Amino acid sequence: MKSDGAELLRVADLSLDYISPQGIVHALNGVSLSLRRSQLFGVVGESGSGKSTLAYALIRLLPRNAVIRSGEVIFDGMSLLTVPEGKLKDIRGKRISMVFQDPMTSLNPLFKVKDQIGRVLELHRGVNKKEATRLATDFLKAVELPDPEQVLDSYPFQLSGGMQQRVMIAMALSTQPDLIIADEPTSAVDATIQVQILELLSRLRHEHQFSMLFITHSLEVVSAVCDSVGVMYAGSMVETGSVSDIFSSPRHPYTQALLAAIPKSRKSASEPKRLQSISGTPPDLLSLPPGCKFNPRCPYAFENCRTEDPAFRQVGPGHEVACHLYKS
Amino acid sequence: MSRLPLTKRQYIRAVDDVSLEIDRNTVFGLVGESGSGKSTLGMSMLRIIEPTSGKVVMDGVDITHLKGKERAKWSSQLSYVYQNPVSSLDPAWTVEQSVSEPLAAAHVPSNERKDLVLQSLAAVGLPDYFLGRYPHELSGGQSQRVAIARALVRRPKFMVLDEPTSALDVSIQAQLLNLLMDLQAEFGLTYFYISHDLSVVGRVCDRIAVMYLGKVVEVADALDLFSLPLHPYAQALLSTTSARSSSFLAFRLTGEPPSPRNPPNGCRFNTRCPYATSVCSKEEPKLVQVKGNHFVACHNLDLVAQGKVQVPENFRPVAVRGRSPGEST
Repeated sequence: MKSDGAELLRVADLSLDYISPQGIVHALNGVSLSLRRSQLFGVVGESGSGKSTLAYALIRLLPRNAVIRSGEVIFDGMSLLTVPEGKLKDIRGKRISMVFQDPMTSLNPLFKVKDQIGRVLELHRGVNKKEATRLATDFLKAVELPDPEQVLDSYPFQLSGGMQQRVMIAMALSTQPDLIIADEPTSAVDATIQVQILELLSRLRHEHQFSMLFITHSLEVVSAVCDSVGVMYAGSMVETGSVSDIFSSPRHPYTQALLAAIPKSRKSASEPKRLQSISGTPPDLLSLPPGCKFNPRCPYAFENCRTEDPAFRQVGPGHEVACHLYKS
Repeated sequence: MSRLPLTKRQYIRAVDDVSLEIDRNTVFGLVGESGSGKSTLGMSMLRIIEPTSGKVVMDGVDITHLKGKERAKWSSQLSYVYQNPVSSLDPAWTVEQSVSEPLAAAHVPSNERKDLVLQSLAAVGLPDYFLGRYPHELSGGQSQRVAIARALVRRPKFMVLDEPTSALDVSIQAQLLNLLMDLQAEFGLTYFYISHDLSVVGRVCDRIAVMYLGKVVEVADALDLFSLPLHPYAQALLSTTSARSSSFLAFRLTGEPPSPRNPPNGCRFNTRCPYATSVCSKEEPKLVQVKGNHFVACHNLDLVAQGKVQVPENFRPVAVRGRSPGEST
């Protein structure tokens, strides 16, 4: 019996490197987060923040040159980083599903939708073909596709981007997972379709009782669908908290700068068009600065910031920041 | 009007009967989703795709059918920045070669080119040593700066920018938008800014046209459009952003847009419009002036203004969520 509020996933101090010909890329540096049942947690960051690496690391879908240096990933009491591959395969795709960014590359172009979603059902739920088709129709209805039979009989290229993404979500839902990891599931679709899909996910979460780890570069998407958010920068988690906390009182200078950089339409002609940008550029993951990774671009950086990596400290209930400006 | 011929002689009328006026030194925005025809319109204006009919008039001169030397003279005044800098820069060419290309095409003497290239790079904030770099060595933001430098090198008056910041991170986008505003002031440019991103358009544009399936459905000053959009499609678009006023009945569109190959009869938006009545599927509404600088193409503006939904299946209320970025408790 799934109960709301219990911890489902805990990531503790996860560090990961990629070994590359140019050197060692420090992709994740001591990342921690906690996800409860039925919670929608958004992981936000720009390019190089490590947000996608984090998602793939949780289920060990990493390239060969990735090395996990330290940390734990505990899912429903199991250590995902150490379970044998056989047991992991049972969990991956069944108890933890993934929705990828570009459905065109994750749906097999050679097979009809019914064969793809049918296969998932036969594999993970052990049903026969007829039952699989019936269940598939139900899940396609759940994602609000108007003509499920037609969609089942189609090849992916015959469907629009929005429809393909709904098919991906239906496939992810069909195994009745505890956790869905979605990596930028709506960045390839238009605004009006994106908002439909985000609101759909929010509704489905209650009906089907799953948690979601939602990876995105867009703070606006997070505010539309998530309960909690974690902000990442250069491989580190810099701030976590509820959506309302992070948006109304962001504490980390990077979070503040990111929010300030989002363009907002002007209210009057006298309002300047200039946006607040963050000075400098994102760091090179091959040679990260010592101390706090954000210090070269931070308007508040002081001596300590250049030498010591700040630890995560609580600044309010459920609100944590990794920044020397805040002493607990 | 522009068309792309397909097998079996089918035509997609990508842009249908669009008339726009763009004032000097302003930023004119064009908003629309996939299949709206906005990129085709941008390219037709510069005759990158030749229009099938209609005309493009710049500074009082009809440039639609210019050829040869005449055309060459005018082409220096117009430039285009494409959506994806990675694919618009030739991967086998250095930055210098790419930025220099428009000069070479215009037969600018080769000994003058390097200086002009350096000036252009400086204008976009790239130091001299970028000359020898290749596109794969550049970040997204740097690539886009190179594309802008290339578009600037002949000192045009008019630039079409097609989704220039869509592929960039938020913080890089902010830097680039500020750069574009600075360049406009410095070089006296007029921009035609094509984007699907309403927040960006609402920030940097002075005047905005909204397109749906090849047609312009609304044109207004940016502040007017954002404070009170009149066309139901514009309202649906504005309903997706967090920063909308409560001056209209926000709603969600249902279903998928029709294919541009087979647009609906009458008003192209009628199949998804909550306010559609029988006239909408028979007659195309004309773009008419409603007040001041505000133009709309809709048969039922009075119903829309009163929020009197006619087709409930096309109306989905907006789910109320928690906070939006920037909003305080």
